[in-house]
Amino acid sequence: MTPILQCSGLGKMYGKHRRALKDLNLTIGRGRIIGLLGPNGSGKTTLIKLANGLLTPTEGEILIGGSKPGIETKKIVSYLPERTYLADWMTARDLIHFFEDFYEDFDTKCAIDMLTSLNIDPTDKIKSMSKGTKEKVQLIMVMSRKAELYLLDEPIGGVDPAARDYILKTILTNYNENGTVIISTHLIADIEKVLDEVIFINKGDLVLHETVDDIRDKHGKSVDALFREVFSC
Amino acid sequence: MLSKLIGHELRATRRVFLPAYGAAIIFTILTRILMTFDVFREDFMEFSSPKWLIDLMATISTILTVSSLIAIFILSFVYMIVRFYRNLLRDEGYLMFTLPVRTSDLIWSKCIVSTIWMFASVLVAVIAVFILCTDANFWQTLLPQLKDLFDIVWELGSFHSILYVLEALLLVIFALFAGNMFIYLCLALGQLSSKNRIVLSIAAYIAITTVLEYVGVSLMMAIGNTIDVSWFGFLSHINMVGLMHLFFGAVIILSIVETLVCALLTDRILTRRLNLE
Repeated sequence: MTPILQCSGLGKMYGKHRRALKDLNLTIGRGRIIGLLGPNGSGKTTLIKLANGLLTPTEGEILIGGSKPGIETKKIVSYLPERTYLADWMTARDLIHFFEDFYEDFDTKCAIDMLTSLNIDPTDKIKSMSKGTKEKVQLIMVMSRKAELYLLDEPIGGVDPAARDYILKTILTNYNENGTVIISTHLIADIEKVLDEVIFINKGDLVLHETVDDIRDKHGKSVDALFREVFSC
Repeated sequence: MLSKLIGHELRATRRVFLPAYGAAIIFTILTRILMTFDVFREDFMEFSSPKWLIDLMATISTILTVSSLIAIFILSFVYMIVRFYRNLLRDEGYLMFTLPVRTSDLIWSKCIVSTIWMFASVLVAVIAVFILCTDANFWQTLLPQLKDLFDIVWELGSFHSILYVLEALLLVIFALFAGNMFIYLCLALGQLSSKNRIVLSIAAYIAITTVLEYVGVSLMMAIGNTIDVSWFGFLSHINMVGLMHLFFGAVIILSIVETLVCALLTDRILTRRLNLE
């Protein structure tokens, strides 16, 4: 089966001097939950943006399900950016209609159930919601899709521990089990228990790509401990 | 997908335009009513409010009507820019550019909906003028004049008349498309910079306009110096009716070319060099 994500010699430069990714070779299979881990500015967001077609590579290529990022790959990728992209004037119901309109794999019932469980009134306007609620609504929209690849950029960054638990629970209980989830974060301890594989990335270089079990067997330590060792200042 | 994007864009913008149109029409009706009072002021004053109050209300209402009519045109122009910038080039762009749609569809949906609102604004202004002017005398004066105009147009032949109307309509549509797309191109160029995006967009607008004007004038002068006027002798065989069609056709083609060039460049920039904040 075609890997869900493949990078060959992938590089990205911002301007002439700032290199965000260099010669990245990576193959990610299906049905996995993967942590894309690295310190701030390591290239995690750049890789995710390249996978979404928001950026174009300077060198090499990135393939999603065997195809270059485009309309067909956007149909199978569900993306949660690190910032809130919701239009303030919309209500949660408007958002559901919007996602229904554009994504064939969107599960309306799943979205409504999740909103109900959080006591979010679908007629509430986004602008009347707190920052935390907006982030949850956005996550609900993204996780209500039965996508083949979920790209979640810092889904637990900047939220309190209770909200982190809710977010992780939402991801785990709603993702398409045949799909792959890539979670970018530097808060490793919180997500370590849910990961199958981890990718360490630093200054645009791939440092490590192993299963969590292999890390524990080979290195005899947790992912968090290994991360601290690899990226110690 | 373009139709879905247009539907969504209409929903996103109507919440601003419809109340503005409603306010403009209400102020217009109010002014018209106060104008009616003014006509009957002599009788009216004997029984009702003092003169100064009616004058004050009429003045305020007239100012509000004129302001609201000007405001809807400014709104159509400003919102065309704001929607493109906010929905595609800022945070909302993370959603829009990850939808399974072509970048060109995103651009065209914005352009088409902006043009629709610009037309609607003209329509509202025309309706407002009719409301303000409508009374028995107005129609008595206007109808014969409209009939005269219609007779003149009819003399040209129904084929040409219909063609003129169609050409004028196409000209307005494509001129608006061209204007909108040109501004989108400038915004797309502006977003290439991480800082000062608006300043760079304005600079791009001024620079491109200046260069195009310079090239246009230079081209005209070059043509004037090199081409023999007798080459255009064939134009003398074309009557005024035909010349008008030729003029409309040339301007429509120019607008279409400008629209397509700007759309293509904007598409290329946003596909290959998208720079979301």
